[in-house]
Amino acid sequence: MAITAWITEFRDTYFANATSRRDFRVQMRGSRSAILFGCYLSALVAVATIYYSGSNIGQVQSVVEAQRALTEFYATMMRVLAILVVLITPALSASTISAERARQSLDLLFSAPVSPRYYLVGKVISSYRYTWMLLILALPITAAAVVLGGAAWADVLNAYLLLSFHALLFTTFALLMSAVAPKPVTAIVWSYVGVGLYVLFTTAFGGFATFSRGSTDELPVISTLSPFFVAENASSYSLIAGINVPNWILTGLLVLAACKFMLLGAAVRLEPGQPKHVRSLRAHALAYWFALALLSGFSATSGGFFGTTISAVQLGAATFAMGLVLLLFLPGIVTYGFDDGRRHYPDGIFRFKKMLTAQPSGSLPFVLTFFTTSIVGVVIGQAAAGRAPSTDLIPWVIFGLGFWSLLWALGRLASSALLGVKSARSVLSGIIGTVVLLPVGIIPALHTALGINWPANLWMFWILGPIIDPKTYGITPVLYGGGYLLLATFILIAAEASLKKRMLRVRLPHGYSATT
Amino acid sequence: MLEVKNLRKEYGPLTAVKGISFSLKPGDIFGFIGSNGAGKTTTIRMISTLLEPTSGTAVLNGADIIANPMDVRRMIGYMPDFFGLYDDVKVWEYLDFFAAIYRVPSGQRHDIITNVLELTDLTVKKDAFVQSLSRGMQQRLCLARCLVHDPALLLLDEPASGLDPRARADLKELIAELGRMGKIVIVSSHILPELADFCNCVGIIERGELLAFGTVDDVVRGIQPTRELEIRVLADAPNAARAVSAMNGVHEVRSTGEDTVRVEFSGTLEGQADIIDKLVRDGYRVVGLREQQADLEDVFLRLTTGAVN
Ligand SMILES: Nc1ncnc2c1ncn2[C@@H]1O[C@H](COP(=O)(O)OP(=O)(O)O)[C@@H](O)[C@H]1O
Ligand SMILES: [Mg+2]
Repeated sequence: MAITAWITEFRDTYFANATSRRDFRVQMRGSRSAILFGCYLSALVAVATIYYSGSNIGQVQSVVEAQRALTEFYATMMRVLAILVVLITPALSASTISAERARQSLDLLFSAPVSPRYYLVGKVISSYRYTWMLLILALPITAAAVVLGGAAWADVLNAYLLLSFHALLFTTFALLMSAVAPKPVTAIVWSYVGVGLYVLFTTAFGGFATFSRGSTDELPVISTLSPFFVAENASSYSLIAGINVPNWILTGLLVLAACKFMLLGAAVRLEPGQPKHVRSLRAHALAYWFALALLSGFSATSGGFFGTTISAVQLGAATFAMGLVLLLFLPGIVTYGFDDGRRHYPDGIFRFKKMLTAQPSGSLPFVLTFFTTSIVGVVIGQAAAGRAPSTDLIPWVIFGLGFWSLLWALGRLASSALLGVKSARSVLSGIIGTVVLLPVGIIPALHTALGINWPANLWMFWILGPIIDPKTYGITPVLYGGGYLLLATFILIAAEASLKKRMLRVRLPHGYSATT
Repeated sequence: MLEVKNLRKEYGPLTAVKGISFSLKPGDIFGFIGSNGAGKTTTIRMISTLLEPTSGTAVLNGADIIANPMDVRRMIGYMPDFFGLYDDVKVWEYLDFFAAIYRVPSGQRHDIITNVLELTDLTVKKDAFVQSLSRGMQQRLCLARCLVHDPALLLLDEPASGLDPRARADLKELIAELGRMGKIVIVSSHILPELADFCNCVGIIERGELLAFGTVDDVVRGIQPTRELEIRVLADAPNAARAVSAMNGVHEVRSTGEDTVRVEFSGTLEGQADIIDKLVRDGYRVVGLREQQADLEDVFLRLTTGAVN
């Protein structure tokens, strides 16, 4: 019975996971954990005492003042907890996989009937449980704030939940880094850099939203996406289609989706030969992307997400700009080669059926579908909010198709002309850095040097030129997009020619042919 | 039953394993011999489902390594050439962890762990931390963890490297025992004498090609079909040589001095007995006979230096 097998698998993975059980044994072993918990508690108590004695809580004052002081005390303690979460949780998993790889114990695991999912879920459970232990240890101090009247129990519970979501997010991100990074040290550095950037970004926007709020608790979700405002925003909500949805639920959903996506990415890294992981990862990417585009289209029209409604042209540019996230993954998606022990042989240029596979013929369909998905999502979102699709979007569709085809063709050329997938990846990353990122630094400098005021014409020479001022450009995206398509065609012809020359030397295994 | 079918692995321009095929049945202890870089580890890792073959496959008791890797994993125990054990874990906890991974019901785990500890002679180290074990003991612990789920196939990649002679002898004894238990055991090594005496089946791999496969006798005979018989007579060796030179299976006969006849022979044992019989019936006084057969070491050296091919 498939259903019983599924239930057994589910129970084994989530409730009887051997990996997390072993980790628990090690985490609780001997005096080390006692010392660690001791240090952690002392740090918390010390901060609480210093804060308490430095404030005027307990002195003779009005009830209102005392209340405010206590609320502030509580918020400060939650911020200290947040700092600890930011510092500790990435470390819980950043070195797990990379250390196992360095120690050469991964093969022992994966020659046993262990799926990446079983292993990764076990690791996440281990560190999520550990986070909760730390949070519960801090309970006496937060409880003091509640007993004295600085917060309500429900708020504390919400704040704890929010903090634990952040912990989950950080620890999963670190786990992904650990699967991707070549060395444990690299994994740790990348984890902290990533978490640091995330915290910086969400705290800047979340702080702005939090401190410029009106009299109600209606706040954009971004305010609870920062770990530092959990005390202030524990009971905040978003108004979605007339319903007040608590932000902690939205945050939880977003975090779960993000974690799932990152774990799928880690699974691809753990079992590179398994097409089902790639399929799952790409399918999720498309689904999440569609949902996000839908939401943007809806709220851009109804006014929630961006604060104000925006025009179709601006929305087109914004949607295209959002899609630039794909640039991060592009070198991994569009290159191929013979040197990584995997079956990455050229199998054609465009096969829609291969879209969800790692085969080279599937990369262009995937990239274009990813882009198209966002446009379709935005249009449907707009329609749902009551605005008819606008033809103003069309120039952006053409621009996007051209831009992504061009980058894909460059990746194809790099793969065809170079010997290996690794060098092709580095070359494409270099190209993306040079044509997309570098001008962002150089052009303003040139403007200053030449005495031109921003925004000025030099941006025209940037590959993303049209997004600088979408309103004034009008038909320009079409010209850019058309040009890119033409260029992509030439590059593709060159790529295929150099591939054909190399194919004379490389013997393909049965079932592959160089030209299709 | 393990059937390896045309297994092939390419790393870019380098072909590490060039389409090798063989099959093994329960109880077989297969010595997989080849110099460093010959492709042993690559082959073993493909059979263990850890490495995707470029083409070809292997089937273990009906389960295909590409189509049903999880089914294969449930039936194999793989011991890599280099491996690390977890820090901060005790020997029994380590085995308990793998028993759980292999979904051994928790009620049976205690007995199974006791058994495999006994089999690998680690009972006294039950509560020791794994990082405190000697190299030989770690090797045995790794073998013990391969046994918790009673696998049908064991893949041991250079298990004897880095062990002292005593530990090596223990390991051989243990592997022989596993064969008697009806498991298929694949043992790889680049040092030949390590394997010759307890494997009932050997394969010689060189630059990704399986040059020879079969029982030790078959392999030796396949490479060197003739054996030299050295017959000692009391006198008249040259005439004795002439007397047997036309017999079945005899390739070349030489006599040295008056008392020794050397026969290059490729016939059956029957034929060999006939030679002695003829000499005796013809009145030669046969003192003794010595057979000189090339051993596996010679075969290995001849094969891998390109003497055959
Ligand atoms: N990941 C890899 N990438 C490229 N070449 C490899 C890789 N792994 C092994 N090889 C090559 O494959 C050949 C066979 O290696 P291996 O199977 O480890 O040999 P053995 O175990 O017999 O010493 C060697 O030439 C080795 O350099
Ligand atoms: Mg090896």
